[in-house]
Amino acid sequence: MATNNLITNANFTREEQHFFINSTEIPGVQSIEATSEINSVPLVYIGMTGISYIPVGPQQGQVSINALLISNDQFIDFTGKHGVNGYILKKQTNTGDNFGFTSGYLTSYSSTCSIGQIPQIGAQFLVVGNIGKIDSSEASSVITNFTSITGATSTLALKIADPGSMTISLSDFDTNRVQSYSLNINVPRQVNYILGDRYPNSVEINYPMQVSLDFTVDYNDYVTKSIRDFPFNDKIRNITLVHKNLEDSSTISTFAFTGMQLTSERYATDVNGSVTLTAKYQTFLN
Amino acid sequence: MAIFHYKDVEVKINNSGIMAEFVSINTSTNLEPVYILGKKDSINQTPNGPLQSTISIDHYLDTSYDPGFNLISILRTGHNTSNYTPETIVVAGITGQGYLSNYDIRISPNEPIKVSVNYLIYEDVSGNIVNKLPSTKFNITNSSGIAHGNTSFVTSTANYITGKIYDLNYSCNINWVPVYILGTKFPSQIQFMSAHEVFNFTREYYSGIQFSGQSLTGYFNFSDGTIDLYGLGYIRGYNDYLIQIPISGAVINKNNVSVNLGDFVRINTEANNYF
Repeated sequence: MATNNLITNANFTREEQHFFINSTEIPGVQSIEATSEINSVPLVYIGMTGISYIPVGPQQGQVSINALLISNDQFIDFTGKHGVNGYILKKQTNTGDNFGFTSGYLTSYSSTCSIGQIPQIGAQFLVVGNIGKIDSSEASSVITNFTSITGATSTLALKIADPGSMTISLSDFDTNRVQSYSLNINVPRQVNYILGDRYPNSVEINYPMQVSLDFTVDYNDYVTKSIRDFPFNDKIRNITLVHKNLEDSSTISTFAFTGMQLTSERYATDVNGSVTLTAKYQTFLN
Repeated sequence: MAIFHYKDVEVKINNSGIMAEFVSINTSTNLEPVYILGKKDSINQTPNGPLQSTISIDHYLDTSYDPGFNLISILRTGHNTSNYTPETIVVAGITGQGYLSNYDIRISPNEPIKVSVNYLIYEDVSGNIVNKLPSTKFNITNSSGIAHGNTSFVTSTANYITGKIYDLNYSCNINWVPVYILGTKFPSQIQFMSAHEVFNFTREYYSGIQFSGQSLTGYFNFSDGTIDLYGLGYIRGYNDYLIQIPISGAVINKNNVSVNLGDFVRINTEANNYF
């Protein structure tokens, strides 16, 4: 009797995909995409016979993660200089069966929310270590991570933020008129390689880091700026964005930026809705 | 007239295939116009120097066989220059007897190492453009011998040189003197006179030059040192193919500290050696 491949194939389902950064399981992950490309190019020369391949360029990969903001923001701390390891495990107790990466450096962070959504976080990592199946002999940090993961007991306290439990402090408009926001932080990285080593010697933050914050608000008494106000009368604001647990209002995450400059405004109106205004603020961290 | 595509022709030095990315042969007749009083136009163009050709080749550095490096090694150790035999260079069937005049290596992390060489040809360049010969072998090590930034080190007998090296350039300029006698078109002898090596290191570590004439190895705090260029097979644990350029004898020429936007402070150190 023929075997039904759809039944016998061992597909992984979401309950078998536990995602850890270093030794901490990340709650609320919606998707992970890891990409790596072999840095090979064909060896081409005058009179060539056949094709062989040689390595050209660094061996790097990218990992993109999307998560709901649950319990706490696990990614914002990685905007610093240190890299992380990441592992997707079928079971917490079996670290040998993994897909992971080592020496991942956050290059892009985003936090977004609209009316009717749980706040979402996006994070992109540049991987300069290894990517794929990670052996415990890869690095001492991997051994440490695996030991912590298998020895940990699950104590995940679910705290969920929603638009109703979010506060934004900015003098131009009231929180309850904000329809959506989008926070983006770019962390440019400089990867330094030396002779005789396929792994980087160092990974530095190539300052400044750009922070941009977009708000879309229901237009009420918001006072727009004229583009001619710049550079002598530009709008500079300190902005605080707080996510709270919808059940007990305990703080999940807080962003506070000083000296954010208004860089663009978008006024939109149509026959089917109210007037909206999208304001973009920007600052640089160094 | 047939067109010869790059993959259908060959570049050979001493009958060994060279993995070249670019090659050119340039011949100059060194003619100058002859003017005389009372006549506006030149009456003729006559030689003001010997007929000379140059062959320039950019090629991958194959550590299993590199004729340029082999020659420099011979010259460095005191070759009997009166009996020096030129290299036989074949480019798509065009043949010349070449004397290496410039040898230039640029080494960067994560990149294969390429060499730029120039040969001087004092006699005729001859032949016709023809297809490559089936017997010519290229890449005989199946890329295991191709030098790479990932398999390049600066070492001494004691240890690796301290201070990470981000880029390294090496060049050698060789001075040949052709001896002409009256009544002959070509030189009767080509004499090796001198060679000038330039080493250029880019590092993150700064150390001031202590005195004029400070040796490069002394600058690195070692008694000797070599640039070790292994083939790619080194990554798999094979160290059969190695080109070793000695840096002993080189003297610091200049030190440069620079920083650009978006970059770290780089220290560029140049040293010279003559033989």
